[in-house]
Amino acid sequence: MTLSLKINGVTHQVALEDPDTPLVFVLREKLGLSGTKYSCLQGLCGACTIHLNGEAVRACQISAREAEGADLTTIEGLSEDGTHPVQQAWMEEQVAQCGWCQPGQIMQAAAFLSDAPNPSAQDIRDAMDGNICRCGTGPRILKAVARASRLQKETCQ
Amino acid sequence: MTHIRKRLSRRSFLALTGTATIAVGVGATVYSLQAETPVTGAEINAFVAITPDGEIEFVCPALDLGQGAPVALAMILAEEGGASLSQVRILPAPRDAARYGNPDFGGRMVTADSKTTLGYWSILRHAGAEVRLALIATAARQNNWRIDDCHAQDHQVYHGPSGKSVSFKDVASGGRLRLPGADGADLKATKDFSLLGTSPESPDAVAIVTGRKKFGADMRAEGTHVAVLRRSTHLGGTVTSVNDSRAKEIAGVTHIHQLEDASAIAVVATDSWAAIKGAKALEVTWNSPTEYSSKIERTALESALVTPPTDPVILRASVVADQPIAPASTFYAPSLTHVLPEPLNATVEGNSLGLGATVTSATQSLDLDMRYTAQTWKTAPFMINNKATPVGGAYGRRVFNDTVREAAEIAKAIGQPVQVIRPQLDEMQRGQVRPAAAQRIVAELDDSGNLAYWRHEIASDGTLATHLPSSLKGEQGTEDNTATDGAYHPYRCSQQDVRWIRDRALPLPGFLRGVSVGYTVWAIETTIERLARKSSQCPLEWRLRHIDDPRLATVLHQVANMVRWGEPGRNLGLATMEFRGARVATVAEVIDRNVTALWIAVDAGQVIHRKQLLGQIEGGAVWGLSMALHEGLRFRNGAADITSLADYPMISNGQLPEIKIELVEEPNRSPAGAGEIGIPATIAAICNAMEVATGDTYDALPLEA
Repeated sequence: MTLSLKINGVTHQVALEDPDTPLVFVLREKLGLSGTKYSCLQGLCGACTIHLNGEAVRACQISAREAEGADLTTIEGLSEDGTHPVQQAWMEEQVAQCGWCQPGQIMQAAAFLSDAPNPSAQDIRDAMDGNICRCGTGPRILKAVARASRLQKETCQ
Repeated sequence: MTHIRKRLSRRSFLALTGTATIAVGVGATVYSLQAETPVTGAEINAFVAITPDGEIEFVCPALDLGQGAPVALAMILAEEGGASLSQVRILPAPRDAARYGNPDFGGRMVTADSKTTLGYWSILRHAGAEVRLALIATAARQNNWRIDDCHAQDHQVYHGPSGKSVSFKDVASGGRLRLPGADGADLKATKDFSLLGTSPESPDAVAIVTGRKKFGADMRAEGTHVAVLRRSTHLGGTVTSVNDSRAKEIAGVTHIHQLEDASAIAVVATDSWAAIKGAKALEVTWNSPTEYSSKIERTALESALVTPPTDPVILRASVVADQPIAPASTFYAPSLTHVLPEPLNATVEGNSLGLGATVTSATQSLDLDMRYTAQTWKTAPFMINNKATPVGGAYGRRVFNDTVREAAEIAKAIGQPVQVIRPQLDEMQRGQVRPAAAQRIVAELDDSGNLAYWRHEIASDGTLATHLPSSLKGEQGTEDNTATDGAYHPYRCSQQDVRWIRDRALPLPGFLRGVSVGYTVWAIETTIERLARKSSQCPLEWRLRHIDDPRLATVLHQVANMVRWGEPGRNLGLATMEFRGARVATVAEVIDRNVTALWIAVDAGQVIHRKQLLGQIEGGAVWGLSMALHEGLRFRNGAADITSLADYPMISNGQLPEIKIELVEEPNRSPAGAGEIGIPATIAAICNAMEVATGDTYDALPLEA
């Protein structure tokens, strides 16, 4: 079965034996977009977070079939060169340790900040609570999201 | 490439010729007993070469686990070499323990145990000094300068009297390098360091935030199959019978292979999802589970304290004049699981007509990967070619990287290259665990309130004892330091008895950030704090009175200042320790049973990369919070009591308290290990603060009254 998936502004025709394949494996193994990671495969860790029509979703919990027709953005599509305010803030705070969970954290933060450009500290905590970082970069993640909201405003002005 | 014969350095590992290669021709492939270094430039020593463009090639013995060791090591080299960090290219060292093994790790190539910066500090300073002196001597010859008039900095050699300078590129491209070697007197004074202690951006920072950084699980060569193993959910399960007809019907599934020890069945497929579905579709009958449970585990460990099943390993023993009358305090720490971000993975491909194999793995040890492969492939070590990929979280789990063994067996059986991916849930249910431990402490103060008697017994399984008994330490060769780390407390006491009792557990032991130090320091520091408070002494003053180490005293004073120790009405708990050369003092504050803040003062010796060091300490503290308040892998009916990640509580981003860290820095100190130091004192300080806040006594982790 061939599905039509719009990812990062480009429409791909993807031939799949199983249209119920979780989107994360289609991205990683059929389209070479391995920036989307996975850990738990149960929608509980946030490593595979991408945007579906601008909303943060877990790519392990959405099948390729369900994603057809949607506008999908992965970490590779957030910016080409790391210039999105969230990516900039992540680098300025030197958030990453191993880096595995960070694309998911960044996608979660980017979707959140596009909806809530002026978040409180508690809003940030709530928004980032479901993304696990086992290296313990959480304190820097919270700082980076706050910094990104400031950068985002500067960019808009 | 022009080979340059080097002058021997004082250290034999720098004294390479690079030509001691014994070629073994097999078919079209040639293997060398001594792995080739990956450099293209002129070799200055085993760790460094310089290209004609002036780029420094650093053969890095540390693996990229995310804790920043390769960058830290490159900074040490660049600092001593007078090089600019941006012109140092980090190349992974080949598996060659004779050249690249960590002297603090018995010469093995292992990136673990907070020993990388610690172990390579002296070597890489020396290697860097050789670079600097080689470039200076060569520039002096090329320009008719006196060597003593020159110095190297920012990738340039400067000539003082003329004010002229030449770039490393000019020197390197200007002809044969002079290699005068270096000795201890040639090392820079620490007051002259300009790079160490700063926070340069990691070379992979952009790659990480744009998703371009490739980890082991992101790399699978065309034609390499993927295997997912189906294991029993219960511990020690073996296959009784299997019906694989449904699995075989799944599109993409190519092979089914039952492991030789019947512990698992591998489903091999052309893609990950097919392999995962195939493993699920197997209809397997397993042997019966045991009755094993967390209660049985705890009872066994507590019994082992009373009736040791093995000879206790004596860690400290002094003459005991008076038997104590004080009752024992007990402490129980449960098994823990890693919750690895990147799934365990390893790729094995046969080569050389099947006589050898190439292993590519997200690993912490090329040496140990080689062992697993050579044993499984039934071939000699030199027939195994090892490569490491960047790792998405290791925390000790990838030292004994058993996925390699599975990949080797499957690749050999099916005669095709295969990557084994171990899904996180299977690893949590059946993988390695930080072993549970029971402890008992009897301690007494004398009439002056000073420590008069200390007896500390620890019962646990041992990870080294299980996997690598040749690495056991101590006079009798029976001490597993990963089960005894942290037991050597810093307090003066004339009557002491400290011992470890090994009691084998059913779950497979593994290293996990901190390993034993996570619970031994908890038991010690909680006992100390109780003794002080019970005798109406200030826990800070009590500790200061009982320690001899001025560096430990300094961090205690520092943290006391940070938190304004002594303010009435606050529920503060203190803990301190020395580990891997680092001195740590931590205070936790508890309000309404919630940890609201942590203050941490650390003397980690010479700071290499400041933000990385702070990140390691902070990350450790986050893990310590999680261990103190949430984590425990429970067993029931012979199996881990989890069917989902949700069954293993951990601290989350939204629950983090404020964490403040200050560093104590003095010149002329070696760097300390930093990867684990944030954990132990955090757990102990939280427990102490909870006891102050509630009046309860906590004898188990996660903290339960």
